[in-house]
Amino acid sequence: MMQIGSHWQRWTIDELDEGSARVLVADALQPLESTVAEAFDGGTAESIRSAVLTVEDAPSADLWAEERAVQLTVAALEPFVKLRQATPGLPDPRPLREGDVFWVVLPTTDERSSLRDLTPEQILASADQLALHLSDITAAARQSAKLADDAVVRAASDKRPEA
Amino acid sequence: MGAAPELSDGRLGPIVGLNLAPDELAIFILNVGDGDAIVIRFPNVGGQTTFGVIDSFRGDKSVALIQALTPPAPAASRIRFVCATHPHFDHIAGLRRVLTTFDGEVEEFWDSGFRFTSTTYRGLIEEVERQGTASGLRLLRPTSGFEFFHAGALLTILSPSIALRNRYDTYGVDLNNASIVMKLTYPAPRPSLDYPKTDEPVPAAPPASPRHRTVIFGGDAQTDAWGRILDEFPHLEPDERIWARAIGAKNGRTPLTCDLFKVAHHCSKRGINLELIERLGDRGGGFPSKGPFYLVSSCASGADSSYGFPHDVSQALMREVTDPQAQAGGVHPADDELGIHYTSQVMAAPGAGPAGSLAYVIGADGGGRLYRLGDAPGANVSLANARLVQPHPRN
Repeated sequence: MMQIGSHWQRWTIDELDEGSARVLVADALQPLESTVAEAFDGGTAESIRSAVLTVEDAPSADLWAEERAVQLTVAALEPFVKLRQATPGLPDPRPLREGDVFWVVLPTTDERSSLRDLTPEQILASADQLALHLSDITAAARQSAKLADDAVVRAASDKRPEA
Repeated sequence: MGAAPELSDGRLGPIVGLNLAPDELAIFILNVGDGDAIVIRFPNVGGQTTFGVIDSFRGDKSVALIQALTPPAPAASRIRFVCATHPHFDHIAGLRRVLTTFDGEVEEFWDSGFRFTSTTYRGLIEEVERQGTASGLRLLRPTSGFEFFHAGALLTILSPSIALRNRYDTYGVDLNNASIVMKLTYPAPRPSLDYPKTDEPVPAAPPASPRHRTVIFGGDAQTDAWGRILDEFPHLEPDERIWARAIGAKNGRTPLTCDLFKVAHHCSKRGINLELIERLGDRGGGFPSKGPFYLVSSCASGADSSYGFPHDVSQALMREVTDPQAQAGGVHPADDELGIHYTSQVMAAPGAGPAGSLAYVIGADGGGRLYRLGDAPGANVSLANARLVQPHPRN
């Protein structure tokens, strides 16, 4: 089974303006859960998607390293745009939007190959060559944000303890 | 690609340091490069110094400034609020650091209500949740019209309207227009008691009104947000009757008039427009106005700016409002002579170096003065390096 730690990143489209995108890249702090790894290891697109949603919905504070911001041209993000166009049931073409989230997974156990050793530009340019799995997980990420929001409203909107 | 022009050494006074009187309010617009970080030191009331934090791209820098401004007794200091205007990385990257450093000392966290998908925002929200449970940190999602009085200052939330907040959150788009935009006035004006009696003659001049200064923090608001703001806080046609002028001056007949405008969205081409800047400067002295006394942009410059801000178009319109020349074909003076400042400015030779963060200090008498602090984006502010910005011709 694959052990994917440094081979797994979460990319968030943070801000789009002037043909440029600030992308927030977070490295995974631990290997993919076995169910997800199994899905990537020869699973169908549907099983991969299902596994991704399971992970993204769960609390993830300990899952990701601190995000770092990288600036890319929108043109360089074409692999993500293509990926979105392939999503059944969604408008085609569907441009990038702020808040879109993608997983970038390098399906290899070869420790000499690590996403951390590549710049985001290199990762995108060689996506086909590396046989990267790019997953659009925006829907799951938005739902996850709503769950986190519900938790903070419940915890921090009530009266202060001493009141 | 736009660039922040160099600042002439002659526009600044000598290094005098910044020593705040207890009854002064100070607004620090920090030089953090490609992002926003603002700290408000409220006047000392009852022996307690309090702060407000609006965004922080570099948490260490915001924290260091608050600690430098905090009196020796730490218990006497509280962060009245921490505000994330909206969840873009260049506004919130350092806020978790602020919250964790002052764990237990922050009373309220203000959030735009835009539920964003980045793990930076998620981590911030999780920290608010933790402190909400552990120490009673309270989450607020202020919308337009919310008023907040603290330490003699009045804060009014201008945006987002609830309609915008719901629209953007529902569809998950357009974070910038979901920004919290707020107005701060100090000293907070009180309603006038000097209303005219029917049997009294109209005085020859309006009664003296207490002076105050107003600052509007534009967040990253863009056209949709400004459109709503102009609708909800309408600019009314001037009523030249003398009492109307006097009362209007106190109570805000032109509720968007401000002395300093923290220019929206890092001086991008979509954060401001020409008529907006005119309205922000209207004091009933004829329209169009020449804008607020100070226009301050927080942005990197030239190649350091991720998006090429400040944008040429917005720089041109700020210059045109403050010094109309387009029809005559004249040449504008330097930006600082028009009251236009950028956090990323550098000093012209021979004293080349960062002009640094800005501090706008408002006295209890309503007098305002602006300082540059000489710090680089990655360096902490040293209050000892403060230099007074010389008044510009529009002061």
